Amino acid sequence: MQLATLQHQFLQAISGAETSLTEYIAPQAGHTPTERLRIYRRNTQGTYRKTLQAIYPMTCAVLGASCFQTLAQHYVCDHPATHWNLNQYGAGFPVYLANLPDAFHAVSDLPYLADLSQLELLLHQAYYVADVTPFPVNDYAALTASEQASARLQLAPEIGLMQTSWPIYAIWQHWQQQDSLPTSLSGLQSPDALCIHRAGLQPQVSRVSLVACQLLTQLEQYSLAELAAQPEVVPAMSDLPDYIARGWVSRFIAGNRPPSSDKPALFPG
Amino acid sequence: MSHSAPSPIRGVGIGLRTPHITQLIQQPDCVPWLELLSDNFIHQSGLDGQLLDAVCEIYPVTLHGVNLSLGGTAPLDIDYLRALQQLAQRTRAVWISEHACFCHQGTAQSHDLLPLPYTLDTAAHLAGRIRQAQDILGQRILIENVSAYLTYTLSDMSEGEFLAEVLRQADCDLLLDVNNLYVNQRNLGVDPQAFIQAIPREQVREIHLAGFADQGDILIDAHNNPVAEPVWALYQQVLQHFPETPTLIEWDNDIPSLPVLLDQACRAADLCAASSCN
Repeated sequence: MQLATLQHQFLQAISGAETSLTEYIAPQAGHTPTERLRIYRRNTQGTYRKTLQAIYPMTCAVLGASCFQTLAQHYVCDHPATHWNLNQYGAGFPVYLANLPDAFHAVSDLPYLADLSQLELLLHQAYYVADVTPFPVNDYAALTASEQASARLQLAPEIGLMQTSWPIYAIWQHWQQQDSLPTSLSGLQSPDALCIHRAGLQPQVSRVSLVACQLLTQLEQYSLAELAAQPEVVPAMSDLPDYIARGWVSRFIAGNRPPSSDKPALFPG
Repeated sequence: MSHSAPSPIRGVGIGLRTPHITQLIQQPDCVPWLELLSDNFIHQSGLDGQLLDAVCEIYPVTLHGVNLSLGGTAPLDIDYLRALQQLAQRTRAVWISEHACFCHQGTAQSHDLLPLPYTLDTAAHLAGRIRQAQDILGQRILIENVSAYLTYTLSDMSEGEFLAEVLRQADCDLLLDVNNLYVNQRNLGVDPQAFIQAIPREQVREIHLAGFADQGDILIDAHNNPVAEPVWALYQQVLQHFPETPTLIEWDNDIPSLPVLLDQACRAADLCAASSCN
């Protein structure tokens, strides 16, 4: 057997497939070749379950350890890792939770769970994303008025945005302060629009207005002039200098197209 | 690649783990050196990047990786190697170590250290890739013997003979993991004495000690327990052959408080010091 074939079959076996690799595993007391391969499968799956538990501690607390482990095991079986960096594993878990069939009663009784896990994913990603330099204010100021209007602002890579119908911010705050979940969700503020960012290198969550969330979500897609022509985001545009000062906006891309309206006032005065 | 004769680190270090970072910065004399898991720091960003710099201001560090897949058949990840080289420069790492195994092929990942068949062809394959990695990194590296739960009928050499051949062809050094050697003795009947005898004395540059998980009929290299008594005993035998070799305590899961880890390091340091008197 060629080395490449052996390695392909080994990885197939870890993912649960039947392979002929067992014929090349030396018989030894205690375990059959199939059982020996299964040890590697168990170890690998255990690593991925631990990774999910590390990324989604609040989700785990809501579900309880046993239920979380069961769901994590299902997820792990269906979602093999595709990158060496374990920090990238598990990004599909919130969508997986959101799409579980109703038969999973534990989750269908917790309609906010997918949003909570989405928040945890964004916090995790904000921690590990690459650092960027602050917004080049002087370079932007050196642009002509027309160039500024056609520029598209870019969010810092750690920025995550989400809108939710559930009091996710309050749950997160309770978790931060008391390392536990609130006993009841009634009376907690919702819906929420949230921005996940870094403060002092630590991921943080800030509540933003729905309008601000819409603006930030569309920021990279449209030039400043185009955004200024959208009435639903205009009320938040005066906050852009603040977002730049907070590091939420980290750079700009000079536009090629002529602006469709006058220069919006990013830096008044 | 030339041998850098006397070891730039001495004594017993510990693996740097997140819960201990602040304490280690506040108590700079509690351990002579640290080993960083290179895969955890390779992007050097955010808080990790800042803590990394603070730690490296205080301690000599080594880098230990798990994802290079030196025994793999997919092309080596050149971007990963360049990022590793940058990390080594930023941390002023004393050396870089990896494993004699494969981990992935294409997009299929295991995140486990998978065993190779012990043949001359595989030794040549592994050695060639180690040479390629060393050329890119610009330095001699260490490779570690891994724990295994199976052997192949294709193998026609012992693990010790295989690794000795790789060291010879690749002109690299060995990180001898005594726990892995013991786990393989129990799981697969590997003869530790024959292993030790097969390895050239001057090419063992570092020793690892760790705890395994005892599942009754099989030992799992889980790094979640204190070093077991039989592993301490084997460590003493290893030190007879490779005295004063810098040693590291690894503990990756169910991580204890720093004093527990330092107690393990103290015990190893006493044995290591005693080995130089014999």
